Amino acid sequence: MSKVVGIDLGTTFSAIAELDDLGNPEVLADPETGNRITRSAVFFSKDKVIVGEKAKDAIVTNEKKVVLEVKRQMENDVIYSLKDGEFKENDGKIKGYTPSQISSLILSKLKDFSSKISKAVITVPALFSERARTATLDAAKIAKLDVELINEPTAAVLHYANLPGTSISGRVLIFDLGGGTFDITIAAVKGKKVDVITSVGDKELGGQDFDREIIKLIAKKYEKSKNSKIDINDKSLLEVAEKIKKILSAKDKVSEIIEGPKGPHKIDISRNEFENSIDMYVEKIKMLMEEALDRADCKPSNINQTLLVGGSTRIPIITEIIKKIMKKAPVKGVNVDEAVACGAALYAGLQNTGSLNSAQKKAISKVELNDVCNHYMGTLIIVKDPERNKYLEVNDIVIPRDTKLPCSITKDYQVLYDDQKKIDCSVTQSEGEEKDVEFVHVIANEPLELRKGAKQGDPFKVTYSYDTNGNMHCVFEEVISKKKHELNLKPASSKDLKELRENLDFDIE
Amino acid sequence: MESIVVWIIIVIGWAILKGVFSKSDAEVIAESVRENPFEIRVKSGLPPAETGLKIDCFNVDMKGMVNHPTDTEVKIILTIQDITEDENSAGIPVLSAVQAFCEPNSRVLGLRLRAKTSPGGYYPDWTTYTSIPKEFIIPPSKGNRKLKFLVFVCDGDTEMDLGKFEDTTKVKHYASQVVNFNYKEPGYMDELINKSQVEDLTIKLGMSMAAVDGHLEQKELDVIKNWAKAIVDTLDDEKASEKKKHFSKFIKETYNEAKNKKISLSKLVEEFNNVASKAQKYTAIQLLLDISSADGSFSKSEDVFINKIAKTTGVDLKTFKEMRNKIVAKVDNLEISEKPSEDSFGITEDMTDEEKCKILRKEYTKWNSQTTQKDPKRKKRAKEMVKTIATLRKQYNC
Repeated sequence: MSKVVGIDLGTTFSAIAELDDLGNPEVLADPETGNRITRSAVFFSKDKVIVGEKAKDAIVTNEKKVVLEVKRQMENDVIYSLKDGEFKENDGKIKGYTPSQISSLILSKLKDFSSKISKAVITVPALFSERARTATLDAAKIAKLDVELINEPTAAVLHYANLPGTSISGRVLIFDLGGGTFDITIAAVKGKKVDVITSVGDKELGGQDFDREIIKLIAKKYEKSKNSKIDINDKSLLEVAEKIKKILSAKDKVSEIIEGPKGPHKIDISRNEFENSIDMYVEKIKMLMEEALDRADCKPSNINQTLLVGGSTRIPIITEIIKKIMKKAPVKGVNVDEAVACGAALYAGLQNTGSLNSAQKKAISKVELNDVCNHYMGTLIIVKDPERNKYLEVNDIVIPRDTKLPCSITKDYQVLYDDQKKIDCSVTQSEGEEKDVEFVHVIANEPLELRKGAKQGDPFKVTYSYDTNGNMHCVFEEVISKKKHELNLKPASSKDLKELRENLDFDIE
Repeated sequence: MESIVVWIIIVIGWAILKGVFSKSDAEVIAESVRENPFEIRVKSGLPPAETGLKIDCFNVDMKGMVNHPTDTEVKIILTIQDITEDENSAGIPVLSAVQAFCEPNSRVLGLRLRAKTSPGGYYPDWTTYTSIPKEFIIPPSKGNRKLKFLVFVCDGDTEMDLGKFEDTTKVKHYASQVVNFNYKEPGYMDELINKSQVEDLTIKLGMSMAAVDGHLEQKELDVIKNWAKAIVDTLDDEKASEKKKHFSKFIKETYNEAKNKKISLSKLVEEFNNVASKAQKYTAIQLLLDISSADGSFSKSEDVFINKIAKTTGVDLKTFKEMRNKIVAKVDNLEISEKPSEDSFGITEDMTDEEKCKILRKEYTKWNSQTTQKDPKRKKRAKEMVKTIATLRKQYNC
């Protein structure tokens, strides 16, 4: 029987889970190493590609050929240059690999942990942009996976709500701090029914950022003692930093021998020093927690439980901050590295019940998920600002963030001046309620020719319909002539397989 | 004005009227109109508590007959005319600074409200029609003004254009009241009269801005020249040539004054505030922002200067912040100092730490969403802003 799987494609680690015969999610281990989580590292050796911990180990000998944190590049038009050992802007001249191609290698590795996969669900950060989502779908296409996407914290809460004998209920806050991204979701849980209320996040906040701060501390201390500078971009230091971070999660102090240009030197780092070094990130976490509570229109006392997800939640200061803001300790009890993949497997089952046996179907029969729109979706319009006596282009929100899905909203506008020839049908996306066009992403912009003789003030309608799978249908209509321009913004792979696979001809190990 | 709820109480229905009185329908209505004429009253002060607004407004109430002989709906239109110069004249229309208070196709203040009615419909008690924040009103001139508030009950399809009706037969009832209003800003007619003076003062402000960091650069001068050129380009040939000559001479003189530090900023701002309208003030601030970023960097001294001008000219600090953010996001180098940062985030000393923390958190959402921008300049800037916000939050023990 073909299987459905859930994949947590993480910045630092990735995991794959499927539903066992009884319908419970089960994380699949790497058959070679037995590890249940796989390092999201890719090493391009001469004739093959190595994915996982071994790839990271290759940093020592082949630093430039090892790619880490590819997830952070998913929304950028960049190429990883093996020659330079870094991501560079894609000007069409650089040879190398796209973030989608590199991610596809991680997906292919995970795919091999199972067999006969018919469908997969890949998790992405709640605030992943359309471009990053498309790049993730491209990666799946290259890996020959038929996939759907789900937001990471949504997957996690689905897992928590479905734990056998779970006592999760009421309003819960899912605190997901991984290797590269941070998400907070507030959801209402009743039985196995999950209603997402809001999701906020930061696409560049995670354990990797903490590791970099540790490297800066190391460099500072080395320079002070040896009067010599350490290259803070040296990838091999990332491993040392990660080790120090892990030790400091359990101990107050750590000593490590650091190899530098003037020989080895023993460096001591205290937990206090580490915590001070990441205080800016801690402040960002606090702000996002406040924002999530504000958006959900609730106080900490209205939240029944705080659920932890992601390896970086093991850092003591993080739990302290949660306790301080929420005024109670977060819930522990699940493997924070696996919750997202397990939730994704459950969602994969929900979306593909035809692939399940009767026990699996029964197990998930009561599971229900209702999500919200994670961005403000708007359009660009011209308005007159009487105070400045000036026409201004502004962003006008059509679908507000946190609107329950599915939804359809129509807004009325007017033709700006007599004999106007066309209207630009633009679709914008923003995390905040932005009017300023400089602070929104224009994700589509196509013209609609107006009828001849259009008059100032003629009605014009814009309708956005957003479904539960993240597909948005936009209709721009000149009411009098009924002329329409329709845009389908569906997160879908952008190119054909041949184009996506260009230059990618490797055996994966 | 969807937010304004008008309670129309139709106390005397047509049927009741007919039952109670034995007069003809027309007589009954005529008598009712005589006994309960349509009236308005305009009171200065805070609007009714349910609006949630805490700004000084003109609160317009109405009562009496709002009936219509044939329709079940009327349009109640409000306009304000300035009659200071001649109390017996129709007056000059008053403008509004906010689109929601304007007529659909102009800046003229004009509010429209649809209301259900009947042949005998009236408001037995004073009922709020609207509250107009005083700061939204722009009369033609500065100083003590006599404003005539006019409210018309009209046919449902009536439109007013520039404060006038095309067809006055559509007006079924009207009422008016004159109020005194001291307008401290130059009015819109002053704007036209003072145009040339304001242009010169704007150039002078721009030159002071360019010189604030101790040196006047060609790039900064070019921004001022282009600004002046844009004005010249709107004029016909004869006037353009005259204006061009004037600007060339004036820019040269002002350049020397600024270079030799002979411009008194306090005097300049005072003079500018006396003659510039709000719209002209925004134009000047935009020019200052463009000059500040002309060399690709936004220095501390420039930031301090612009913040000071924004505050002293009394422009809306939120709008200023939006204008400034556009520049901040684009420049190569940013050296904003902490204090002006607080100012431009909209933080004031009288706020509690909790309020400051909340404002900073909202700013964080704005800038953090820009940290993944494709444009490296904007990305770098956004990261710096996030860092500044986090630092300020720590200062306030958020």
